[in-house]
Amino acid sequence: MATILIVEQSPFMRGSLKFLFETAGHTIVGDTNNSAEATELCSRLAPDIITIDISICESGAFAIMKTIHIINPRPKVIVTSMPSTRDKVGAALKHGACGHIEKPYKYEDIEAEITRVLELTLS
Amino acid sequence: MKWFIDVSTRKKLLMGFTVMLVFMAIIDVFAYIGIASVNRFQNKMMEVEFPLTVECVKLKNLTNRERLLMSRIIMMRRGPVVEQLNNDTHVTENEINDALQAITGLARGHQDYTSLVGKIIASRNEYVNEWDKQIYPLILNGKMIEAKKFYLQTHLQHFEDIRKVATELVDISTNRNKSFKIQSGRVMTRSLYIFAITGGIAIIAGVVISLYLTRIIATPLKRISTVAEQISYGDLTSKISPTNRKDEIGTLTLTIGMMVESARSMTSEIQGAVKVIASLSNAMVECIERKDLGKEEIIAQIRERAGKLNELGQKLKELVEQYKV
Repeated sequence: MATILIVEQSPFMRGSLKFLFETAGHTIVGDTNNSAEATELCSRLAPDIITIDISICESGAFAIMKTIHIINPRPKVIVTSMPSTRDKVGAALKHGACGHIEKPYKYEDIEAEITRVLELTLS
Repeated sequence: MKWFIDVSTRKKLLMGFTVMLVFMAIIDVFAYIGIASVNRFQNKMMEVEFPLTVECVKLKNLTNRERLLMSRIIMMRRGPVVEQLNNDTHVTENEINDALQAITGLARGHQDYTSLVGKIIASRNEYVNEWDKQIYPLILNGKMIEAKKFYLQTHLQHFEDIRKVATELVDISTNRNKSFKIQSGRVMTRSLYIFAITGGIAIIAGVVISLYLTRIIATPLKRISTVAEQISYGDLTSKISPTNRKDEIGTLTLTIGMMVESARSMTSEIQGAVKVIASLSNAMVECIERKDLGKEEIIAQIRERAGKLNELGQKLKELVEQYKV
């Protein structure tokens, strides 16, 4: 099971993601809604996976993803998006994201995507 | 039974009720087979054996009556009474012929019966011929000794033959009736056993299915409703047990869990903002009360904190806007 850091704009969505990841048996090491704290938490907690809300990424032109990659390239990044921001997912994947989960969150989607990303880590 | 837990509640209930209906159908089929078998045996008894027995007994009685009439004729001298009695024997003979006709019809298609009926008819023809062509003409001619001789020898022998074969026929049909009755009883007993066993299994299966459906549907629903009730009182400390069920109960559990966790996260954000507001407010009061600061410095510090308060207000506004009201 993986350790996960949640970077999400909305406290609603943070809560939902937290519950779904915990239900799937993963550990949430931290959660935040701003990029500076995300970078700090990433370097301090060294999670296996970071989920980043694409609307946060956009503000810094994927600055968080780049910074995180420089600090610690080990964590895999999964971007989360609304159906309205789906077109930005391609760019996020180019910036180093390994996976994508669309809102509203569904347990099956999350479980499948986390499993896929963890298998990527192993391979 | 993981697959069963994962199917939708509607399908679960449908499957449960279908299993119970199948058991009821099996019970119905066994009950029908049992009743139909008993009915078949009873029909067989009522179609041939029972009426055959009745007709044979009737034949024996009529033959006795005819013999009695003939005895009375033999005992009398020629005269009007003899003619009257002879007419009576003819009436009885017609009734005997009717009975024989009925027996022949009932025995048709049954080899063992038809051979015996054939013997009765043969003996009966000889019996009637002997009376009409030998004994009765002798009586009319007053030759009573010769008539009695015939009557007590060959004629009596034919009478005994008819009675003997008719008795044999009654015995066979009675035995066959008994056999049908025994077979019918056996079928009835077997049907009752099957009925009791399948009924017992159906009751056990019904109880097990009901308890199982209650355990996997009603119990988790009760647990979820308890948590929902606590949330309605503002208690966000309640924890929903995680589940990986794929049915409506699983979806409801996940949804309530997400809702609690979201509300907790939202409340935590608001609590943080409230703490910041309180500390900024205190800092502003302290700043005003400080004697060492000049008016310009106080205004600058208050302006700086007011700016932070404004940012916080904006953040709270954004938070509140996430609620759809």
